[in-house]
Amino acid sequence: MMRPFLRRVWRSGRSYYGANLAVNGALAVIIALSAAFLIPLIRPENIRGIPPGMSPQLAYERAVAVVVLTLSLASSIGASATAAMVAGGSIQADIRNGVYEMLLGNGVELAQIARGLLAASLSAAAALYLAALAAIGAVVALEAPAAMPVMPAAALAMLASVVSGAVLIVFIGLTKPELFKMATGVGATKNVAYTISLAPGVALLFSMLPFFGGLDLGGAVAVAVALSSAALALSAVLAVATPRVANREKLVSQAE
Amino acid sequence: MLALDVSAGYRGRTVVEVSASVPPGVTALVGPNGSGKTTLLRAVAGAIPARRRVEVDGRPLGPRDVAYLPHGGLDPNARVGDELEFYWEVLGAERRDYAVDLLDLKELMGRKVGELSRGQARRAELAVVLALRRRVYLLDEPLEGLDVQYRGAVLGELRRLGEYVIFTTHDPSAVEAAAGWLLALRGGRLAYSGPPSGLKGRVAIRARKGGEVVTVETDRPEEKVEELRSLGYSVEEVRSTAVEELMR
Repeated sequence: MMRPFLRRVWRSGRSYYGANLAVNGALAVIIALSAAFLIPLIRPENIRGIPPGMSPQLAYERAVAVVVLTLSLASSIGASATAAMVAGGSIQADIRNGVYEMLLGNGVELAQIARGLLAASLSAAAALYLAALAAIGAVVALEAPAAMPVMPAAALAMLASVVSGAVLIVFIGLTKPELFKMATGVGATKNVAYTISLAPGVALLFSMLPFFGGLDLGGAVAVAVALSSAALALSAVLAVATPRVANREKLVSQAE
Repeated sequence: MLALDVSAGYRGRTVVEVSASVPPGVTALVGPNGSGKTTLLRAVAGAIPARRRVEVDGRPLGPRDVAYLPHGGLDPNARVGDELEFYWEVLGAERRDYAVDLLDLKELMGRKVGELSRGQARRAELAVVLALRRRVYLLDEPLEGLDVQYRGAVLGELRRLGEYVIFTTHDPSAVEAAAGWLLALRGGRLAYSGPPSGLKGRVAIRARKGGEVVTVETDRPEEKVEELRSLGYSVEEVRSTAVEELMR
């Protein structure tokens, strides 16, 4: 049951949002590569406000590590948006084209659809996560090997950002598909579903900002690990809940 | 007998409420636009949440006993072959070649759904469902957009599809050609359930005198035919308009 959904999601997500996928993918690569330009700009002599008792070398290593952590999260948001678009684009198209009505009316259970879509969405998340992690990992290994110890925490935070986006987009798609509609605000137009799916990654990214000033790497890693674990646990709960709370009526009647 | 006891709607508003029994064979489901035909089929098929009791000979119908043809269902950006393969794999189609041959789909397999005419796309949608082997077939306007050749082929196959076939139509001739039983809805309620021949109602008589052709509607056909003949008309056609009335 999983395989047909995997093929379908990758095919239809690509055909509906090909241009957006290319832009998002390019954005993720650019963010990852920008680390290659940013990291050499950080030098021990450039660091101001070193806490008393901390050597300039240690301050430098911590500054680089916090930058790596932050850039990793920024890169993962690009990967998360791309993965969400693969799954979300497919869900949107299938609702509009009456695919779920055909499936549900011919005896396919909502839970089977949800499982298939979650697997497909997570496959997109896994592929893009590995690509983003490889890009960041390569840059850090080449340019800032001293920051390598922070990579496990960065990898966990990136995973949380991408997985929560992938699960959230399926949850929204099957429970509140009306959120795929565009919303206009003051000077902005946004697709609410995709915006929500990126929220955990953005929250993780912003949680790193307070640590730039104090060079508190231990605090940054602790917060990143705690928030990432919470996001992953919440994603697991949502993944289990999705088949139970998916809205059969909306999946069928939204097409009209 | 197929027993239906269904109440369904959207956003908490009841659209259709029907209790009916249908004998084996082909049943036409008719009614004006908005009478609840599509909602009834969706509810019976289990596509939407509903208060629903559907039984065959007193036994509840399982989800894999029903084949359901909605409007649409194919992605216009996908190839016909990919779409059919997806559905057939997920739904467990058992007679793919039969559906492809009946609907003459071989040449269309490599084409994108969005490039097809409405009739060609309908043939592809029909193939999804006709490839399934199920007890009950629920077909929402299966003839929509089909040309004469495929319309005839589909109508001819309805009796052979499964034990129970219910199809909706706005075409009285399709009812006449295929249906042994008729369900008519009006305002979400059952207006008629019985054989088409059991409908008593008005009849349309077409008669000619020289170059003059008249069509008269009456509920006393014998008297009207006699009257027209006495006036020198030759009667060309007498047809029931009862089914048409149920569709209006």
